[in-house]
Amino acid sequence: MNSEIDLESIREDFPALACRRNGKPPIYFDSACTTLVPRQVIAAIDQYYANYPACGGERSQHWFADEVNNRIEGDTDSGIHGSRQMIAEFINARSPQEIIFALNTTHAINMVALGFRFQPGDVVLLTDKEHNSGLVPWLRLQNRGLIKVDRLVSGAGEIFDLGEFRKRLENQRIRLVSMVYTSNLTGYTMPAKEMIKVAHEHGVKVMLDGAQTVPHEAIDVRDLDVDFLAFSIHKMCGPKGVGVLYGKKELLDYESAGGGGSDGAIEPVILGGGTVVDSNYGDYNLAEVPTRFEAGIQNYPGQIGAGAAVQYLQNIGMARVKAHEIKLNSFLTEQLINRYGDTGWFRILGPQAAAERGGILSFALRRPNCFGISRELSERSNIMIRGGAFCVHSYLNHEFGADWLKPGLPTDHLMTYRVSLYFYNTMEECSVFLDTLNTIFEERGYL
Amino acid sequence: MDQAIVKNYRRLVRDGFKNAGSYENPSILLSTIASGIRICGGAGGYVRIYLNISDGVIEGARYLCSCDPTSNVAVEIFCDLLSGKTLEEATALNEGMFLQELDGPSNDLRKKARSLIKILNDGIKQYRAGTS
Ligand SMILES: Cc1ncc(COP(=O)(O)O)c(C=O)c1O
Repeated sequence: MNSEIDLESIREDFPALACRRNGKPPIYFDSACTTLVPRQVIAAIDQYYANYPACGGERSQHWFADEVNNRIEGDTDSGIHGSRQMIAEFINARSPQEIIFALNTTHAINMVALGFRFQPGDVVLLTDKEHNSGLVPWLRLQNRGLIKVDRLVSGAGEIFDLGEFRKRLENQRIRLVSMVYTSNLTGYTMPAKEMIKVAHEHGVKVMLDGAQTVPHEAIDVRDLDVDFLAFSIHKMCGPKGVGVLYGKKELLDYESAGGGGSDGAIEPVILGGGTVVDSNYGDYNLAEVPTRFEAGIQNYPGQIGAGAAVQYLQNIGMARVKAHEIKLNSFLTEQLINRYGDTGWFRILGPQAAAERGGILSFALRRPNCFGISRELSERSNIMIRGGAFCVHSYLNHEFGADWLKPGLPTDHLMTYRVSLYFYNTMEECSVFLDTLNTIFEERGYL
Repeated sequence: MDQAIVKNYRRLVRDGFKNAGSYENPSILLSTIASGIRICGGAGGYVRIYLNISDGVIEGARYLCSCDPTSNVAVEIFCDLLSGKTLEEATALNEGMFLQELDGPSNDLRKKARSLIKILNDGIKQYRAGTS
């Protein structure tokens, strides 16, 4: 099998790449926010609305509903693979029942935060670089006095400190570890398997925020032995408004094992239509897993599109996706360091080696008025990157001071930018980015 | 960036931002907050302008900002134009006065000037209401 990505044919799958603005093609370097969508996924969504725009979940007994259901849950008679099954296979879950459809990563993390039965005084351990979606749900529980939130600071070289992690587990009453698997700020991917093994040795459950991992490399939840994994389908070529919470089957069923459920099992947070099999004026019986977690009419076109997205990625091969991103990132890193590494005002965030940052390259600039560079890149060369705090305010405020985005003297200005790559990006795009950035720096008198 | 802005801005970077700074108790505090700064920490676009007024005359104008070069050029010119003016004269400020400070045309500067003039007039109105 060829290890290189067939870029030309892949790029033809993405209608957005054929758009032109001021005669220029888009250079989309913001895939950590959300990715472009291939026509195969668009077609799957289109077909839903055109041909069987009905509800799923075995509510209705007509053929429209059957078509929807078959595409999500599969149909062994006709050999149709459902999207839930496809996603389960994509991350090597034991069963499709371990796949809960959510709105996005944020929703999936909140399902665990609000559904986990904590005891007062329980500690939830995070990293120091959580996305707000992996931080704020826990801070709310802390503010309510239910848990304590603590964080593990990265070790030297910005990498996960396994020794310190072990010490924390020995000395604190940690009930759950909830950590960002791949940082959306630095691109660093933690050694999750080793971390989870240590956590389990101490009887502690682990949830990973896989928003920036699952789209970029092969994930095997069984090999990792992770308890919960949250990710967003819209960050992996799928439709917006669809995410996934993977949970080990026994941790999704808090009623079993004598009503107490296994330790660390979660209960559904939102109840209503679709989550129960029966109710009377005084009580209700919950439906099976995962249905009990999917309340109300769902985003069926999105869930069907999720299957198409996963299939698309599988056809490319996740090893190829990862290798391609690192190839581009290595080129960008080397060029940027060569050009600006000695200036004193340019710094790449996180580990310096591109191989440790996957498809993410974030940099901090300390120059007067170093704001508005993403807008300028967009206006000049149709290049799309992001500037700001990337929803990791907590870490950046700690690093740079709480006022770093507030008005200050031009000579004190500081800004961070993020380039995030995916398999559809090219070396030529990287070169255009480097040249345009250099022109902007020159024009501003930075060089 | 417009070429006229580039020239002016590079001069600022080279020679310094002479109006940058703040006053502890300004007579008027003007501020522009661009939308998007807070959601996920969007990128900049925020200027705070401090005016010191004595006997109806703007004795000093200073600013702090987290904004792009064009905005910074606009606010430097704004402070220059305001210093020494009476409030009456300040309310007569117009876009053309900003553009005269550049060596060439700039549509972007015109837009920034327009919004600065608007917040200035609002600020002066409030100041007069508070001191009359
Ligand atoms: C690491 C990480 N966690 C969580 C999220 C939130 O994802 P979503 O907006 O899809 O809920 C993001 C989004 O950028 C992310 O990068």
